[in-house]
Formats: sequence, structure tokens, C-alpha cells
Amino acid sequence: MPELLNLAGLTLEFGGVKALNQVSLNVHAGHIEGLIGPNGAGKTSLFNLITGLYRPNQGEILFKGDSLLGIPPQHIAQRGIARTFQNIRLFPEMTLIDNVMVAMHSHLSYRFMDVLLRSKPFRQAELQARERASALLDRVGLSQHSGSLAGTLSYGNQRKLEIARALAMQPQLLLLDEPVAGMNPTEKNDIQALIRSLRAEHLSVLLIEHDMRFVMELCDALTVLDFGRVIAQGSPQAIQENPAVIAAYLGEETPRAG
Amino acid sequence: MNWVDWWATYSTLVLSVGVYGMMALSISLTLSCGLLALANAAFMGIGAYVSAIATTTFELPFYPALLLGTLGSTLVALLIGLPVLRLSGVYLAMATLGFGEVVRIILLNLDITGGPLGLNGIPLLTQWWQVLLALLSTVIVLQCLRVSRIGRAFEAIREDETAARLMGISTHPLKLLAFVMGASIAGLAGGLNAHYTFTLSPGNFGFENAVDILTMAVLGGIRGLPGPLLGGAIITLLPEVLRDLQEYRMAANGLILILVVLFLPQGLWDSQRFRGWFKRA
Repeated sequence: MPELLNLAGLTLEFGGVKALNQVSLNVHAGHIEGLIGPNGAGKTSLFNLITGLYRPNQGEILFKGDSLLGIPPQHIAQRGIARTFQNIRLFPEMTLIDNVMVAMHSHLSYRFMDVLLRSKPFRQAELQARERASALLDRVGLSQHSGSLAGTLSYGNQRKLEIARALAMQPQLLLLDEPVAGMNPTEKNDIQALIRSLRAEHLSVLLIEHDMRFVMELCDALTVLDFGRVIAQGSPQAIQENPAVIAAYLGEETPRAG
Repeated sequence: MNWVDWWATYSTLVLSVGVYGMMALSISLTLSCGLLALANAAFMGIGAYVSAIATTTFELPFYPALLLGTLGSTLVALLIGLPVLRLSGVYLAMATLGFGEVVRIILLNLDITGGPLGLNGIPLLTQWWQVLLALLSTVIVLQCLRVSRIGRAFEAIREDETAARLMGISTHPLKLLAFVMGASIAGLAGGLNAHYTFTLSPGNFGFENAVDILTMAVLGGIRGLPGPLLGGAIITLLPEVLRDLQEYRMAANGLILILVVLFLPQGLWDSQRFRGWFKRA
């Protein structure tokens, strides 16, 4: 199985505090990889490293074999990495359809003069983009709201819109930061089905999530972070039985003095 | 009063409504991608002086002179935009205001600009239809941009620049585009302005003018093109309409602005609010 993303020995320090310490993990093409761990373990920091918002103090990030270090976020995005955000970052004053179409920016190749002349390439590209955006909204179940402002959506629907927007970038790797936080069970099932269907289309997913049932059912492999270190890696089954993971989540049993 | 007399009295005012409509649109372009750049008055000044010097000192025809004025402010915008647009928020506002002062002081000290006396006897070449044509062209170009990937990217940058970058949008070139286009519009407006006012002086394009132009866009509303046009017209006409109030005129002017900003924070023209009315009806 070829590896799409390799993270090797990533260390990230904030003024002496190690947010991430020698983190290595691989995402295989066409896999759903889970990233779990207690709050503050460094999961979102890892996403910020991959997408170019932060630069690691040490380590290497390879995407399709090429280093991403020092590449600005917009170019990393253009190479095929899309993400959603734990604290939702939509464009609240824009309509749903425009939110999705914004993410198609780098795929719309018409030129400035085409815009001013409203030439055929421009009109065709815009029409296709609009149709594709509608299809994506339909896919996440938001097509009836397509003309509303993103800020008026419910919390769960905003998360769905973030996924639709990320998919509009036609990524090869999708980073989902707590995609089902705040969702009800029905919505969670919808998202689970959606992510499975994305895997069926050979999209690779790296997701952060606290809902253990969701993660265990969905992921092909898991990485557990605690205090910035990888404490376990493996199949969902192996992780559930790993003593280090149980200790991190439940606290260690103190050996009783004999 | 017949038509000829009316036009003789009010032509300057009518042309100013058009020219300041362009100015309000020019600043709304940078505001629409979240940039508080206050150099538009200075770009208007550059356009006005360059084109007026072209028609007076160099006796060029009107159209090449307008073109030179527009190109002049465009070029200057390109040069200062590259470094200055790395700033944002109030720092950008300060840097662009500082640039405006530099322009004013240069105009004040050069010989070719007539120094503190300014330029006098500029030929009255601007026709009403030329202003209308320039204004319409500006509106059409901006409307085309708004419904394209460029307009959507501007809006996305205003709402959340980091998220926009993570969507694969190169924000710096787009900001530069908004800034430079705004300067081109302001340069053209300045060239038109110079050729119906007869005189130019450096004080015309200083801090006060920069704030007026910002007020036009904010008063009218920047969520659409009608807003800045409306704001430009109101700020230009208000002192005339309030003429009867005599010395209280400027106070009334200020009061109206305060009320609008307090009660209509999105400006007078807010398509969302209109849509809300329509839904309830």
C-alpha cells in the first residue's frame, strides 16, 4: 500500500513547551486514519503543521514523496490537502453555494480578461462550478439551503458545509478536525456514511475525533497522542486493548503497597 | 429657472456626484477584501495632477491626458502596494494615510505642480457624458468581478483570510489587484475632476478628502455597488441641501452620519435587509 503522507519525527515547540515531540505517522492512500488523544495532546497542532500554518522545529512532512516544509498554506492546499476546522471557520456572510465555490478558486482557470468580457470559457467554467457546488451541497444534505448565508446554519449543518467546501478543492487527502462534534446520532451516521463513500472514491482521510464509537467503527488505523507524543499506533482493535492508551484516558492504576 | 441656467449653476455639483461615486467605488473595492487602505484621495490627486499637467504644460489632448493620469496612479499603487499590503488593519490604514501625506507634500513642493498655489487655468474639458461613461464602465467592471472567482475570493479574504489561504487562494496577489484597480479608478476620477474645477491645489487631496471618501462607502454600504454610489451622492449633495442651516450645516452633516452608523451599521444599502423586508411581506 503506497503512503500518501509521511510525517517523520515532527517536533513543535512553543517557547520551550513541546506541543509535539517526535511524532511520526503515515497515511496510506485510500485509508481512513484516526488521530485520537486527550484534549491538548497536540492533534490540531499536527493539522496546522501539515497545512503549513505552523513550521516544525524538527522533522519532515512528505506528501506524495515531496517535502511540504516551507511551502505556504495556499500552495499546500493546491497540491491536494483540504481540511475542516475544530472551531468552524466558514465565511459566515457568504451564501452556502458561494462558500463551496470559493474553494474551487484554484481550479477555475479563466483569466482576468475572460471575466471582463464574460467570454465563453468564463461562462462555461462558472456554470460547471455552480453545478458541481450544488451537487456537493446535495451530497451533504444542504441543497435546500444553498442560497442562505452560512452563518445562519445550525452547528451540525455548518460542519457539513465545511466538509462540502473542503471536497470542492478536489483533494487527495482530507483532514477532518472533529467532524461530528455537537452532532446528534442521526447526523453522525450520515457523516460516517459520507466518509465511507469518500474512501470508496479513493480519497484518503485523516480525522481527529473524540467520539470513540465513531472512530472505532470508521477508521482503518489509529494513532494516539498524549502530551505531544505518539503513545500507540495500530488497528482500532489493538488500540482498544493497549494498556498505555487506557492509562492515558482513564489514568493509571496505582500499584497498592504490598 | 431654465435648463441652461440650472446647468450653469449646478454642473460642477452634478459632475462631482459622478466623480465621487467612482471614488466611493474605488475604496469599496479594497474594503470588500478587508483592506482598510486610505490612499484613494492621494491616487485621485496623482491622477488629477498628472492629467492636468499633461493638458496645460504639455498641451496634450484630453483623452491621452486622462490615460496618463490613470496610468500614473496605477503605477504608483503597484509600487507602494507591494510592500504596504503586507500590513493589515490599522497598520495598513496608518501606512496609507502616511503615503497620502507624502503625496500632498510632494505636490506642495514641486515646481511642475505649481507648489502651494496649485495649478490654475486648467481647460474645462470634462463633459457630463464622459463622467457618466466612466462611472458606468466602473460599475460594469466591478459587477463582472463580483460574480467571478475573483469577487468571491475578495469576500472570502475579508471574512477569514487564513481560511481563504487554506482553500488554496493566494491572497497577496488578489489584495494587490484590489488595491491597484482601486487606484486606477481613483486616478481616472481625478483626471475628470481636474478638468471641470479649473484649479487644483494640494489641499484638495489630503486627509480630509481621504476620510470623506471612506465615509461615502461606509455610509452607503459596501455589500454591493449601489451603496457606494448612494453614499457618494449623499456626501456630495448634503452640504448643498443643508445650505439653509448656514453655520449649523457641518454639524447636521456629522449628526446624520452618526445616526446612520448607529442604526444602520451595514450602511444605507443593505441587500440582506431588503431581502428580509421582502420575505416578511
